[in-house]
Amino acid sequence: MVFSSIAFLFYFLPALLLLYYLTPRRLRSVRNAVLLLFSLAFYAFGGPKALLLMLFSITVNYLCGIFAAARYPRALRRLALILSVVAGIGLLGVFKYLGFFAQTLNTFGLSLAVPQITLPIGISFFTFQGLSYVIDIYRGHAKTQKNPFLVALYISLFPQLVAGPIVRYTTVENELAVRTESASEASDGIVRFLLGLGKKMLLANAMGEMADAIFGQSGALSPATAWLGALAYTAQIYFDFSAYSDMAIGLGRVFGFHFPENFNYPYIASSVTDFWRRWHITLSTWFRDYVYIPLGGSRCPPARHILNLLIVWGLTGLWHGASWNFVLWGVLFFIFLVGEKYLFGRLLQRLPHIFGWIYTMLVVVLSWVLFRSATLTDAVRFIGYMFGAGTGAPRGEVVYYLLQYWPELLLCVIGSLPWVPFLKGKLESRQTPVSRFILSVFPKAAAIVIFALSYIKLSYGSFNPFIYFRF
Amino acid sequence: MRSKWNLLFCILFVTLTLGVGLFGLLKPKETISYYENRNLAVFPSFNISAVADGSWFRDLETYFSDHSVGRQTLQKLDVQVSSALGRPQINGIVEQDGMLLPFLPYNAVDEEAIKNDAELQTDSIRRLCDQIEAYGGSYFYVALPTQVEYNADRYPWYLNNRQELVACISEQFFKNCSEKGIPVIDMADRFAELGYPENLSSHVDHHCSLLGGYEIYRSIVSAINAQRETPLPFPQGDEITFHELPNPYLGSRNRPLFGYLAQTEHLWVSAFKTPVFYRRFNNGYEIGASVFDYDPNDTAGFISYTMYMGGDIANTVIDTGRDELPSILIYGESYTNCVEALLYYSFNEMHSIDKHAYHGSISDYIAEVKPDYVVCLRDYSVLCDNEGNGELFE
Repeated sequence: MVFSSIAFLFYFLPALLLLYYLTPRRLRSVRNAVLLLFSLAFYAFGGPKALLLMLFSITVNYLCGIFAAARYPRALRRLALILSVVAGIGLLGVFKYLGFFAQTLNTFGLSLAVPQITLPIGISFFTFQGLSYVIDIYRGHAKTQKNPFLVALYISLFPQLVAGPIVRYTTVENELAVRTESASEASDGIVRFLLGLGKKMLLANAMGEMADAIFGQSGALSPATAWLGALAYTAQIYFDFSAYSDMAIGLGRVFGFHFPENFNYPYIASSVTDFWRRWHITLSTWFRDYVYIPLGGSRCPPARHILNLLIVWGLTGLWHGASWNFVLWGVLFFIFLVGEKYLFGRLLQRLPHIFGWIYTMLVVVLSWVLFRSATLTDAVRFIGYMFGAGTGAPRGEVVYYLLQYWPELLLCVIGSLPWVPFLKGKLESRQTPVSRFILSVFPKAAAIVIFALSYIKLSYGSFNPFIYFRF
Repeated sequence: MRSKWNLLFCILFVTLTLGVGLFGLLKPKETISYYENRNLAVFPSFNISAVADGSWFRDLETYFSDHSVGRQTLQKLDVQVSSALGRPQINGIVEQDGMLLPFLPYNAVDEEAIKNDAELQTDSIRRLCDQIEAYGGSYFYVALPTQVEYNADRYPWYLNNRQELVACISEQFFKNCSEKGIPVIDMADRFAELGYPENLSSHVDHHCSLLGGYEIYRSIVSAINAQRETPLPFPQGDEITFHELPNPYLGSRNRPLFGYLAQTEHLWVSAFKTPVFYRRFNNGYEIGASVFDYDPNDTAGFISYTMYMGGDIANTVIDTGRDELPSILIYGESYTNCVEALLYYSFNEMHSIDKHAYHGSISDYIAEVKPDYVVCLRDYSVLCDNEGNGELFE
């Protein structure tokens, strides 16, 4: 199910809210059962076949979690860990990468059958959550959860199930059993959810229309058109993905959970390193804690450090999709991160902020072209157009796109800047009745208006899933 | 105070979502979307395979969207907001000085593909000409500039008006026709001669007006008369009168804008001074003798181009019982409809086919009926299109 759908907003969510909140708070296990059942139904809505896969993942991680605990012999704990990793990576291997591997091997002269397997929604997210659960128990960072329903609830919790943020078990360990729902938390959560809905319906979808029209155009593009297309996709992917995270975090708060932030205004970053501290934070930290540091991190000779980075960024690329485009996308970031670490990082710090920002945005925008293109050839062709390799004469289309989407473009620029926390901070520091009133009422009023505008777009009925659903 | 606001907000949100959801479920369901000219989704029938592959849930979402509360009102509002924001196109429609034109994507012109298509299409037409000439009949191809070509200069400079595409299509097509001896009536010449009068085209629909249809009819008869010793009867001067219906015109261009500008243009009907009595057959079944399908008692309701000949019918025959006159077959897309409403005046039998609805072959139909004249009427954008009415032998 998609958050930005009538089925979710006007049937699933109110039904869940009613059942959940009509259940007395003291009956925590009943509230959890309601949440679990709705989470499973939410996932089943996209095709119940995939639900079996998720239940398998839950069962394996639950069992492995038991035997990975400190009280068992080391060999058994290691076996449980290996089994969990093999099962998780195996699931990803079969459902996400098998076709890709077969295709790749076929380019070396083999003639393997390429299986056509439908990618289960959110498999990369719930697999990583399951793995973090068992690894954290093995490392002694978390206690084994004996209640299988709570493990199921952790892995299947619907707000962040299909597109993150990737929530570690340790983050919600306590809240699974004991949490406090309140009107204040729920209200803030609803506001955050509706702002996310607006980002998706009003900004990301509009930018997506523009990006699709330009990327899908036949024939050569003028540099201005190609740049506009690349920038539109840059805006689309941020407002789409961060919208989902906002909605997930908001819904989490409605039900008393506190999920980690996933974005921190990435498009104001002044270096690629800074960008990755601000973009998909839960994925970067997952790879840092479960791959990079175990490999030795940065506390090793430079050659080994560079190899560690290459492995992490190759895997990060591959995590996003079974295609060489994604691997190269990861490797592109590896190159710039290594460059910043060993070659020009200090120079970048000494330059005015604006240079760092331009350099970062250039890398990021080009990387999104690689990310967006169906094949490497398409990506190279499109980047070529951006730098004038196309024969496409300007046909006024840039003017059209700017006139057509100027409100959304303007809002995207505004929405990429941290003016909300800035204003909020200013108002909070004043502590006057007016500032308190504004802080209390304005976000809610804005959220209701955004909800109404989003509903208009929903009534057009175009099914428009989030970009990160396919990961 | 703050917690009161928070609680009120939570209650408002739940009430709003629950209320809209329940009202959406309980309200009477419409079956068609009048403006969008389509059937609204029905509640998906439940079956295991559809549930298993997720398609049932997707259909359910379509159903909810189609029947969402206040859908049409909100979409109208959205059109108004988009207009106020100055967007060049709204729901695929560009408004320029009261003229509604389609927004055309910026696709490159593939000259090679057009060249190949033109070759194939004109080969096919030549084959049909040979078939017709073999039994003594004649063939004419009428090329019609559409509303876009008629008003190409009205597009803002930064929008695509497909001039480049249409120039390439028409150049290839006419060159091939000339080489292969296919008689072509280019309506662009006639419209240019008349100075492109506004009332021949439409402001709110892609079809031409009945007055435009009359000019096409005149051109067809002129071309046929050039081959004949006895000219065909043709109504002109006071032999034909035209008048506008009072109803608002809902065209293909103002449908996506929910009837915007519908009052600014009206559909025409005509009457012959000397009426021609006829019998009409749709797909082999006799129906009432009428070429204008409207309710004279309803002067306020929307009316659309389907008023002419009752819309796109696979096969229509109008038999005027005047054996001294020749027979004609006209085929093509819906542009023929307003021509057909007049054309029967000059012929004993008028046959029409629209391959988008007709499942037989045009060639087989001609072989069976052997009309004296065969006319193809197609618009500039599809001159080289080998599908639909360009598919002559299948």
